[in-house]
Amino acid sequence: MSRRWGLEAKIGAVLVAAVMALSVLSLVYTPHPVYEMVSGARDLAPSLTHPFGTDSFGRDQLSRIMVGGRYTILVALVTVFGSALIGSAIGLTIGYFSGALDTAVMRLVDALSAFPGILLALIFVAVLPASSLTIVIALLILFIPGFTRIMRSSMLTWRNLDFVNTALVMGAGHFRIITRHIFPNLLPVLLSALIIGLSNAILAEATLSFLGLGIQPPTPSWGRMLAEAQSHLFSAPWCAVAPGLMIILTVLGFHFLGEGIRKRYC
Amino acid sequence: MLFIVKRLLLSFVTLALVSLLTFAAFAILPGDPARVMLGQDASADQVAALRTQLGLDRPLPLRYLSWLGGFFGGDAGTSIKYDLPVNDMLADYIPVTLALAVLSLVLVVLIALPTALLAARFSGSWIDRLVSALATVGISTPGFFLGVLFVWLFGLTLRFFIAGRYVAWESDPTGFFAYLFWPALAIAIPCAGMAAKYLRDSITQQLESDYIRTAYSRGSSRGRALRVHALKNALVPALTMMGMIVADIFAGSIVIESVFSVPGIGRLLVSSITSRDFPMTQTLVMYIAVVVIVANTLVDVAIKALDSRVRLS
Repeated sequence: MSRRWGLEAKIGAVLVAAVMALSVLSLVYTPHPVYEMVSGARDLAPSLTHPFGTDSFGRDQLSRIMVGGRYTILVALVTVFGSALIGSAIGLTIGYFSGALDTAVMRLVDALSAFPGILLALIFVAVLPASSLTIVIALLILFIPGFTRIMRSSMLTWRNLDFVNTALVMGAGHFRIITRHIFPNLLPVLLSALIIGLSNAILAEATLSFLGLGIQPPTPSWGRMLAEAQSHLFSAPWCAVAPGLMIILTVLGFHFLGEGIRKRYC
Repeated sequence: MLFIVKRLLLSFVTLALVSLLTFAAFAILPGDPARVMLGQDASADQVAALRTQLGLDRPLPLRYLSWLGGFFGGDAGTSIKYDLPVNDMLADYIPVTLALAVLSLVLVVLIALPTALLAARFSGSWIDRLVSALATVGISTPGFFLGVLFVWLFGLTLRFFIAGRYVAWESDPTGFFAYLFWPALAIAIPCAGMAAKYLRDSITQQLESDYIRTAYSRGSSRGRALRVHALKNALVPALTMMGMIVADIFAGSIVIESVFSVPGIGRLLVSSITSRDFPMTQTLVMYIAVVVIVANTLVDVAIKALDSRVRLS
């Protein structure tokens, strides 16, 4: 707990704001039409007209990065907020009531955690039909156990405090106690977990798209762009460097911001 | 002894749940798996034949038990894509991934341990901040981007290795490890970032404790207090992280093997998912989960052996 925002929170906020701004800007403006393929402009090195160069189809890389960022961030936001909602509901409930249900759910959470993260997402990608909705469902389920664990353990530390017992004695219902008395205290923990979750979600989406199992073409995505760059790496290395750097900067931004929030409030 | 029995029991429960989850994910498919595998053009007879071949016409609990029995009994069914017994194929693929994983783990330790010690030795200084910044960048860098960069820089440009030309262990053991070094490094760097950060925090925490002050008062230098006293105690919590790192290494190899054309189970998993080869996918998922569970169990037992105060929570 500190009274001021640290340097990392500031760097994180700037990075996140920049990436967000670039993605939102792509709704109204891109330097070149995103899906336009110019046959005379293949594999062009970065220049003033194409700051990040062009790919082997003659598409402008910067425009594709801007639009790709939009989808990447949208997928990350939807999955992380969705899994935070479900995970919090489960975690708060089992933490508050504890007992047999708590033990059973935590066993399940432990079992789910035994799968290396990306493997769990891959299972759902394997069994569900290939579509962009599949990746949302896969990532949603991937992040639920983490939020369940965090919210449950935070609930346990607040559960038996005096003000909770007082509220109980004064006749407040369980639902009211959980949502009105305890939950507001857990918001900083949740917020920092949300932001760090976003950086994990962006990494996971990039990985799945890189493997060809995430966002489906022609919709641009950073992971997919990196995968496509592999086949003409020698002639156009910028096609790999640009999306790769964008992934790093975005993940780093959310990571720093999340850590900054944690140090400020938790 | 009681600790080990309890810990093994817990692993067994996790294993049972994991197998149930893996089985359930593939059993409760929306639609008919045989139909999904064969595509819309297949005739009803073909679908019926595949259903019988996969045993889909039997009740679910029976299917689960026979799958589980097959998995541990050495008969994990037949790959749809390659039309070969899954286990025969895995015998060729698993050693490659294990070699890659061990090499990655060695690199993680070689990178993380010295940097963490350096940061802890000069904690609070610019060196400490630099290590911390580098570690965070490492954590944020996807392994597959590092892999693509290595292929471009060290493979295509500097020609340290020939990109895409995997060297088999049988033909040239030295060349095998020389080739695997690059994918292993791509897997290791993000994990090493995490490990270095954790280990550094764990060491600096130890440096603030009473026994270190005693060591100083008895004339020990900061370097000696660090190496002889703090490191030993810091390694115990750091070991806990090893289980997580092993999981991350396997997750990393799923992607990196595709970048470097390494014929291991990671690349096999991705290709069997793409071609909807369910028996193969199911078995590979189970294998990776089992390795991670076993690694976590070993780590916990090792921690107990090092520090007898540890209790199962």
